[in-house]
Amino acid sequence: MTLRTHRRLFLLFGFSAFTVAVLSLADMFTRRPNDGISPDPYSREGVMVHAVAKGSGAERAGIRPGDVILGINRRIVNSPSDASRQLLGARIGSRIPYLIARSRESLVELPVQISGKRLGDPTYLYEATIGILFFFIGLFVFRRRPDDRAVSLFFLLCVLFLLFFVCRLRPSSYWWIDLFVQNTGTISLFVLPAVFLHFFLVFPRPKRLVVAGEESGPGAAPFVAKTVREFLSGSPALFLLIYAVPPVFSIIDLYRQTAGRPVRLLSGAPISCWELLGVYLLLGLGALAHSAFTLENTRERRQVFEVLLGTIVGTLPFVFFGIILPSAFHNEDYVFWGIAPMILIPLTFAYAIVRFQLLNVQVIVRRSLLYTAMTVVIFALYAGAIAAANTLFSGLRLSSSRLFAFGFFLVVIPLLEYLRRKLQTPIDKLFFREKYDYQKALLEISEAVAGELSLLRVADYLTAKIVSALRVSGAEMYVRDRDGSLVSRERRDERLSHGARVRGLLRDLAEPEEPSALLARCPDDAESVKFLNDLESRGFRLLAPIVYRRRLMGLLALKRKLSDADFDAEDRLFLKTLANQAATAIETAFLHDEMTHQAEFRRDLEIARDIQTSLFPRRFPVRPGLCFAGGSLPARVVGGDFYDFLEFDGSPRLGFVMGDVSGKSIPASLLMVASREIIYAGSKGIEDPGKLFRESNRRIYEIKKRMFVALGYFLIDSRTLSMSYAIGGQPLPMLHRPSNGGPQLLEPPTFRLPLGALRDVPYDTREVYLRPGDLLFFYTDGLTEAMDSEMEPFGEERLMESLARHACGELENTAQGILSDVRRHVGDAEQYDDMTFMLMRVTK
Amino acid sequence: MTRRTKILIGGGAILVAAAAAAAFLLTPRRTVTTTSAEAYQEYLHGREDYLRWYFREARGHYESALEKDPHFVMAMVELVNLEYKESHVVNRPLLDRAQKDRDLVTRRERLALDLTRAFAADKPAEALRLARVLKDDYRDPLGYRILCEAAVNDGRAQEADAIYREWLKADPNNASAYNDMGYSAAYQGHYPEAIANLKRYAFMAPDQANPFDSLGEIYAANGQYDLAIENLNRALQIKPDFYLAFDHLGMAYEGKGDTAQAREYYEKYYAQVKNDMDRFHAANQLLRLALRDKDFARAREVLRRIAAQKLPYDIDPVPLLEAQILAYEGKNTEAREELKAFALPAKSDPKIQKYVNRIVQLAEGRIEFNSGNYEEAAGILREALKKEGSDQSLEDQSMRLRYQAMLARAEAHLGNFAQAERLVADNRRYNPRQRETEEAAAEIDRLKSKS
Repeated sequence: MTLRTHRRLFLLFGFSAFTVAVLSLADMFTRRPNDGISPDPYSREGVMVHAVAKGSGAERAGIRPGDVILGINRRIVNSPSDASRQLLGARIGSRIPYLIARSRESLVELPVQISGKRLGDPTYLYEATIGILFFFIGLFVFRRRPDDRAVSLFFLLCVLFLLFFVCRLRPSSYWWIDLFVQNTGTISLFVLPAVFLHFFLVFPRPKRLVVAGEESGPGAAPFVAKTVREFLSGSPALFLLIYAVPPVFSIIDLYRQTAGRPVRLLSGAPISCWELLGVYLLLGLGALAHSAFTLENTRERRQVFEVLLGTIVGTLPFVFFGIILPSAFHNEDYVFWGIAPMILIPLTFAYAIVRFQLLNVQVIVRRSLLYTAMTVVIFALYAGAIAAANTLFSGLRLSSSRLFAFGFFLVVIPLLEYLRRKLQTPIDKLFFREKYDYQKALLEISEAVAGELSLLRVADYLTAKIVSALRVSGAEMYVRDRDGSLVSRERRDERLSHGARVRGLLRDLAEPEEPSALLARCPDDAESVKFLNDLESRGFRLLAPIVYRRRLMGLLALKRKLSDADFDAEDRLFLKTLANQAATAIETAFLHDEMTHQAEFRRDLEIARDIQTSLFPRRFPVRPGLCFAGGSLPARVVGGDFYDFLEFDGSPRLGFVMGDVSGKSIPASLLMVASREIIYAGSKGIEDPGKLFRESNRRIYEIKKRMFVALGYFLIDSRTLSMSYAIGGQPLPMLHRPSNGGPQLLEPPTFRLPLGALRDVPYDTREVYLRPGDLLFFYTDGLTEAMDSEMEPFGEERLMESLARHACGELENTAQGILSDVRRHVGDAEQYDDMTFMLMRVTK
Repeated sequence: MTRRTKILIGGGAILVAAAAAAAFLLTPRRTVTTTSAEAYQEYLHGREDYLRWYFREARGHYESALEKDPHFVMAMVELVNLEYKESHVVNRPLLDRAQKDRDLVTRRERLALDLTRAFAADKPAEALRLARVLKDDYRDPLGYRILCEAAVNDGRAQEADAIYREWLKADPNNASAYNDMGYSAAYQGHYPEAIANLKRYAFMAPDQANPFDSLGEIYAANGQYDLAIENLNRALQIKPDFYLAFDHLGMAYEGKGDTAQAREYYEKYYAQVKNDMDRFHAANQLLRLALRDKDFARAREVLRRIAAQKLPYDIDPVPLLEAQILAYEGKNTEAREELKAFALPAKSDPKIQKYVNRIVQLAEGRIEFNSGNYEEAAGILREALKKEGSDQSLEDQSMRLRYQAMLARAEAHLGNFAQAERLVADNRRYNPRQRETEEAAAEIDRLKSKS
């Protein structure tokens, strides 16, 4: 059975019982024709008179308990319901004849005056008040802690007490409902003793019988003693016995009745029921006394002792006056004196619940109820003051004026308000101490974490406060890291220890919800289960999710309370509030962390840009017959493009390398530097660009997989005006030869894959012979792919046209012209990629 | 629609359905056919009054029901039965009228109608069969009534009691049951129970003379003569011409020993009765009183009155009664002769024959006892008083007790004191104050002390 079903069943039982109790009250306090007789509800072939109300028509007519009513108002009646029909037809104030059997067959006819009196009297009202008090206390406790076994039992006990007081200890009536009510009350009488004893065997902690000297070693006790000890230590068999005894007694009574042997009744129930109730009450008191003297925790001991005191004072008179006197001495005259002190039982429980949070309930009587009581007291004072004033001013004309009362009211009200405020503080202190502590702790925490930017210190502070405010043996905070892991922020440990990846748990906790017991979590993945098991093995009992804007930030894990008590609703509320505070603090700390990271990153980027800039040649090489112009415009702080000239000592050759690394920023920049160095180093020993690329490709491939670099390596011989080249992933340079009429792309090599894309690529070399006046234009794809706001790329054709347009004139002007054309095309759109180009003109 | 709304609507629907089902189940199903609700109420009132033996009121209700619904078959059936109960005459036109609508009514009504018709046609077996079905299937009062009356008439007292008890569970306000069960208990000597039953009847119908008369009769038979007189006087207050009360008052005063008052009431009874059989009975009471007083002249005067009555089956009781007078006079030989002259007509009812034979035996016993032939007397009386079930009437019981006292005396004379005392004790269980029993007890003591 699920917890929810269990709870619903208990509530259903409770409210059904309450309905029966209400019916009983309605029966007792409805004005109907009444003869003052309490019938025995189980009467057959006549109505047995159980009791006769003093001063009633029946008493005046001489009807006595034990008489059997055979007829009412000229009709024969067999049962209380027959009698009810006849009575309902009678007129209030009239005298109607009753046929009474006094002994077995001695019948007399007596006239009985019918009154309109209600059957319920102050005694019954008092008993009903006790029952209803029990019910509401039980209901309040149960609604707070429905999953607690002792609380469920307590609720059951309270409901049974309600039925006992309202339905069993009531005078019978003729109404049809009476039999139903009385039967319900009788059933409660069967079950109540067992539940009473059961409750005190598990409250405040399940009893275990410890035999002196047993601690010396297991197995020391003989088998019989061991079996007895196990049986008495809350074994299922013990509870079975406790619950089985009352039905066995009732079956015996039933058998005796069937066999024709007399069964003595007390208040309509067999005397054995009452005797059993007495025995169970005494045993229950014994169990409670045992707890009061043996509990380790002094505070708990004090609580239980006060409950014991109230229960003893409430129960013992009932055992004596309500059970022993009637059963042993056949005297039922003093039963009420046994019942009267029983009000102390619910009151004691209520006091213990309010004062000590007994059964883990913070406040049984809500603030409003207390204040209502307080207001009633104050208004009683007000009424007293008015009465006093009336007496005082009675002789004066002033008092006869209507305005006097109004004026007096205006004077008194501010005084009463002052009085109310004065009273409120001590009441709060008396009944809401725990709440004050929580509020104070929350205030301190909110002040402390508001200005705290260190996640570690926030965690330290929160866990420390939780430990002190909730009086738990330990607390730990886990924060969800950027990669989704839970990270423990342990106190006293400056280092962060990585928690498990607990996806199931995180998913489970993703919705903002109440803190819940560790064992209530059932994640479906093994890591979460392992994580929870680990927490449990370390003594953690409660998890509280830290949620910010429906995003799980982390969780708080709490160990058991020092008092061993369960976490109640008030604790959970406090913890939830605290988790909300923590969520805000964590988010703030995260943001602060983020900002710090970004600042550091920006600083690193600036450094990287400086380094990258320093890698570009500060000046162009000087070679007779050649002149250069160009540059690089990075799209971000640090670009992926690069170029460089490689000079060989004493050689007319000049190497030129231009590259574009996949990705941007610092990693791309680092690869760029590495590629440059590889090419630079390789070029010293390898003249053929194709071969150089083949070698370099392998090394670049090793550096970082899935990162590659587009390179073009051009080896220019200024003496012969020839240029051999290899191109991997780079666009083909343009050659503007005036005699050709416009720019043309150089002949492409066979293999043009970027370097580092594959391990082995058979790059080949092409060669071109230059002429004076030739203009070579090397560029990266940033130029051709520069896009306008409508994502239209600048393109190869436009670049060729631009080059053709600006080819004449100074080389710098050509460069500026081409850049101007590209910028014009791009307009306000963001620069998509680094733009790097180099112009080389053959002048000789 | 929210979950809460769904729950509220669902819960409401369940409650309404439950209430409707409860109303349907708790509403009594009508098994009688009428177009008028008022007629049905009149029928129910009539049935209730009938059970309480308020026949006139019951008749009024049934007639009213028939006015409101002329085709109300069950009202017709009840009225026919009521009229038969009162006058022993079957209202055939009404029965035929009911028969016309037989096919339009329920099974229960058809059964009741068929039962009444079977009864009217003198088919007791068929009537009893139908009565049993009506009782078992519908717990119908008519079924119970017929079965009970049949059991009572046949002397099956215990069976009658069982059916009455069952009927009382269905309807505790049943005058017939209390009256008959009261008498039945009295016949068996269970007087407290008999009185309790009749007190219930008296409580139900304090304005009827019958329950008080019955109570008086039973008190008288039980020797509680003052209470008997009180109740019988109350019966006469209610109905001054209730002639049975005079007879019972006579018995009460006779038991009390006030023979003058007893004679006065027997005479009143004799004067009030209408038919020969009742007059014979009244004269018999007077004759017994005269013989008790040994006023033989008066006895013979009463015998002359008896001789003027015509009894069923042409029985002539004069020789038998003359023999009794002679026996009281001590003329035993003449008495024997006279007794021999008595003969029952051959065609008389077997029940009557048995009864009269017993009377003859008892007379013979008295003659032998008077003659001092105790052994002979004891033998005859033992035979005559052999018990076959309970007594058939209180008068029968009273006579049995008188002769049982005589038997006790005969047994004592024979020295069978234990048997004699047992007979006296048995008598006292029925009537602790009967004169003959006390005389027998005294004689037994005397003989016992002498022996």
